[in-house]
Amino acid sequence: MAETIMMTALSPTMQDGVIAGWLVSEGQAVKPGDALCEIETDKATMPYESPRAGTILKITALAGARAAVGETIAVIGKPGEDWQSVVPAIPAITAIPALTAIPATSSALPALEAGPVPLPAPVIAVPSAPAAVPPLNEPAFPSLGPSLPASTPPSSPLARKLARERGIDLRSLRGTGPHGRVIRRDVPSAGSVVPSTFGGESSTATHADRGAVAARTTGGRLRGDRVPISKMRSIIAGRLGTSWTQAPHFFVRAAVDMEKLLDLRASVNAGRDRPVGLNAFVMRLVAAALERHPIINASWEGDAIRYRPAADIGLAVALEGGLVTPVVRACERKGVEEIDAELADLVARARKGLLSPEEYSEASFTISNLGSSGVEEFTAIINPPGSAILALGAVSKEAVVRGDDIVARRMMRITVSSDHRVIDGAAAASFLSDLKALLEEPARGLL
Amino acid sequence: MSEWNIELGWKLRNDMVRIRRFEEKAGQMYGLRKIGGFCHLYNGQEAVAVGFSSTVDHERDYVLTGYRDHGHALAAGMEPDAIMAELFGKVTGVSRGKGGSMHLFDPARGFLGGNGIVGAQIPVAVGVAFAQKHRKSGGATVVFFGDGAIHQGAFHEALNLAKIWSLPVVLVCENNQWGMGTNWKRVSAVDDFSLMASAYGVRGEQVDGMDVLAVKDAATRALDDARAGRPVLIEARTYRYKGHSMSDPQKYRTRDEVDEYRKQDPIYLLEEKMKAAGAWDEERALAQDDAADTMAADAVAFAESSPEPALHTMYEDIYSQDPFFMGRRDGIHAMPSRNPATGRA
Amino acid sequence: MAIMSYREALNRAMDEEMEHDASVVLMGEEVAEYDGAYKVSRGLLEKFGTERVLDTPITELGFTGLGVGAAIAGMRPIVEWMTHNFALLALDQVVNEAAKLRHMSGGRLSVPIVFRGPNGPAEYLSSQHSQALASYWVHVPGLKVVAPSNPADAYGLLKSAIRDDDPVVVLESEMLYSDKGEVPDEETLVPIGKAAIARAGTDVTIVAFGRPVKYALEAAALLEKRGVSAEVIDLRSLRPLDEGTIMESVARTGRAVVVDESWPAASVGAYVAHRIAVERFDSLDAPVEFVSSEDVPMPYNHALELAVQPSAGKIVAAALRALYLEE
Repeated sequence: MAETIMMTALSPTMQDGVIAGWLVSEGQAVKPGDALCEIETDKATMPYESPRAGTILKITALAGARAAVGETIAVIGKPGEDWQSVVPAIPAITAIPALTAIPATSSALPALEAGPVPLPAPVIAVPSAPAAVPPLNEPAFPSLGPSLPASTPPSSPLARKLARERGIDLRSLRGTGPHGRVIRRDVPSAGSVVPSTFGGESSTATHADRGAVAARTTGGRLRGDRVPISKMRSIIAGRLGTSWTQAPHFFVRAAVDMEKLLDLRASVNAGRDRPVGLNAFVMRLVAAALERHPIINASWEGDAIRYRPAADIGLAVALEGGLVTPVVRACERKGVEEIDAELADLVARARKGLLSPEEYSEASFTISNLGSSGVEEFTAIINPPGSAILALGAVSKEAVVRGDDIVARRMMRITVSSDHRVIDGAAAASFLSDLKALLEEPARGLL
Repeated sequence: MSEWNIELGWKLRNDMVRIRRFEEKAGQMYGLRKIGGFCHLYNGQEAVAVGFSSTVDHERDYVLTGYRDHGHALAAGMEPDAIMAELFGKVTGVSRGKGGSMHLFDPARGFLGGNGIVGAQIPVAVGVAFAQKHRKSGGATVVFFGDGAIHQGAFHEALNLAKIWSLPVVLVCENNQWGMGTNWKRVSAVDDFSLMASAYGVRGEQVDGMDVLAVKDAATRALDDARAGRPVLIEARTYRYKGHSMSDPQKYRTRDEVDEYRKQDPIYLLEEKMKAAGAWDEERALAQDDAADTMAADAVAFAESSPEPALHTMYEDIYSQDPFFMGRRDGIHAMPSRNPATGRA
Repeated sequence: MAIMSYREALNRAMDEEMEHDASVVLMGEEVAEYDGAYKVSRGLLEKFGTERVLDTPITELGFTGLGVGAAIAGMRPIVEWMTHNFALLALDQVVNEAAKLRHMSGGRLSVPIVFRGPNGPAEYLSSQHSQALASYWVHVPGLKVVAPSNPADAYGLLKSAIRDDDPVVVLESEMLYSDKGEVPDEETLVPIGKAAIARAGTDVTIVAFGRPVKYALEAAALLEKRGVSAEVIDLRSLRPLDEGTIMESVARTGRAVVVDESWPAASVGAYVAHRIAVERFDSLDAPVEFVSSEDVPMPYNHALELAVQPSAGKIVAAALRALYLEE
């Protein structure tokens, strides 16, 4: 008995997902748990595993298509079974004929059969690889992210609507209409490749390149080029934009004497094959501070404030083309070593784009550490649904006054950004003060 | 003066006084900005409307006129309250506040308006007469227009049609001598409009429009002819005391000219005749005057206290069924249309 | 189904309605003894007599106004204008009287009248006799306006117009009078305010009315040969306008070509194009195309006069522009 394979929610908040690429083809037999396709979601590309054994009868949402949760993406069954018995009316987007360019004279247009898409086939703007790469006159600025064109090209209302529906940034499309207008045929529909303006790079995500999503956002960037934003970029832009504009941020700072914590870390790491990272210590101490200040470990929910039951602490991890915040759950119940092991695994997988959504969502508090980049101090934007984020600067030796003496101490500047809807200044100050004390006297927090 | 009798005299006087008082009140209300736009007063011309209406059979005849229509509407028996409310633009007005001063209608009393385009009511009136003839109703149509309208093609085309189809219609030119600010003699090829009838083989007659009894006699003769399929053209020579409309400064004529005509005032003339006939009763006259004052005051009170039309009524009275519109009904499309019980908002 | 000409269909409509309702009369220039300048009223005088079929003097203002007066006094006149060009003399009576009397009287008056006659270009008639004046009437609230493109609609719409309690202007076409088509044998009314899908299609919507519907259908046939499936909407009623049918179609096709044989400025076609642009903004893949008359008075020379008007070729070209298939 054939049955449909539907898009499922791969994260608590997922409404829809884009088929990054199919790993199986029609007619192929699969076992339960086999990866059928890659789904691009909030921050990662996830394999979609087959729920049952059978043969893929029909793929209804082709690569590049956006499918809402619950929407059919394929049909599975016994070989030879009629897939249409399960999905009688396949949307027109799945019936794209082969791509053909429109001949110069319309008299040469192919006669089209009556069908769901009787128009001449859309021409998808995929630049042929090398020719589309503009000559490199100057070195690229590697420190800059992919430069997106500032403005959208002229486009028909319908093309805009379709692009919106399919989650395609218009700026990534090349218009073939008058004055470069992006028109319907320029918007890739489900089943066609995702166009890319990156010269030479195949934009079709395949199982062979799990990091394709991340790579695509940065690979081959060129000054003056128009680069489509990735799903991840789009999510970052949306989430942090919303956070910055909706959460009234305020900041409290402190200088922390790191001598004892660094000595402790050095003694712990003595003789270990793999040293325990400083982040794990900080995370554990932050959890201790959060236990004393549950008001900080909370989420703004519009008509209520939700106090989180555990210190689920995220750590911002820079990726090529973006960042992700893997979350170590319930840090208050874990030891530094355990936290460190989890972190190591999460970060490694995050860099490969292999985190599952529940591994990087719903942090109750976040830590961002730019110390390794030499940043002295900075302020971070709160990572919702948390209400506060801790920004760690670099540890450096400073001249400080101890008693009546000026001494050299390894100091770290920390800044807590707080959402004033949830956290008032005094509460943030109190938290900061306790956190400083814990970092300076780690033994108290690690007991 | 064959129709002369005392009670008729009192009735004609009363009708004229009521119009006079109503118009004076309307002029006052215009000055108080209770009435806007064009407001053409009938003061001085009352004998024409009243002389005709005393002869018209309001059961089967029709009356149409131009924009100086308050006097004709009152003479046709329309309610002063509803007329004043219409001048005030209230929903209780005879045309629900859609028509205003120039567009008073009461088909039940045979009064078909109330027309703002100079002379345009003449072909329409001839068409009403066509329907009367077609249905053999025995009714006739009287259409009033001014000395300006008589030069319109509409008058000439309509008079010709009335004649060739033998329609029961009386065309009454109320020559008040001023087409807005232009003296009628400056723009007319003839100095007697009744002559124009001869061009179409129609009987023409000139009558003193300040003499209500003379008007009544002429009206009686004309309606007799009309009912027999012989259209008639009447020129009623009259005079308006007020400006063309309320916004007319009347620079084109002298105060003396107006005063001269006031000496021939139709109400005064009738009173003189009644006195000469020994039929005068000062107390009765004062009682008529008081009643007319009260009528005008009551009309204003009614208009004042009446509600403004609801915005959604702008979409009503345009088509026979729930109206079709080319555009959107911005913001008020969800409003109820009419009260099904009364057919009114 | 009987095959009859557009002219015969109009004649049949009037004949039946005059038979049904004694208050229906026909008046106009040459409608009686001459049987109509275009023979639309042939035989009606003989059948209904001089009291109901009346030759008027050449006084458009006068007899149009007379018709309005008869209508408010309870009759259902059909006023034939020899052509709409001459109806301009009667503009006041249509715009200021017929369309306004109900409104100015607060709903107390009803004006059940039909104004009909040929509108639009004919042949070799130059500037005063070859004009498409639909927008003169469509502009005016209080009027209804219909434009039948074929005999069946001519029959059904005229019957509805005669029965309607509001003033209805019927735009006929001299160039359609001899066109033949199927007309139902049984009595049939075509509702005012409902467009027809003259041909179903999926790629582009062509909206037309009156005679240009023929060109639109020819254009659709040409487009089909090129693999384009064009839908042709025959508006039939211009006021009220059946926006639902138009918008439903454009939502499906994403492209619209509006055809109007009038001059472009302030025309029905321009209004329809505007409504599509507003209502279907998110469905359009191309600007709404508009094929109108050239913005010039009609010349006498035949080659020139044909070039001035919309044609199947112009519609095809417009459709291809809308489809980005222009050569």
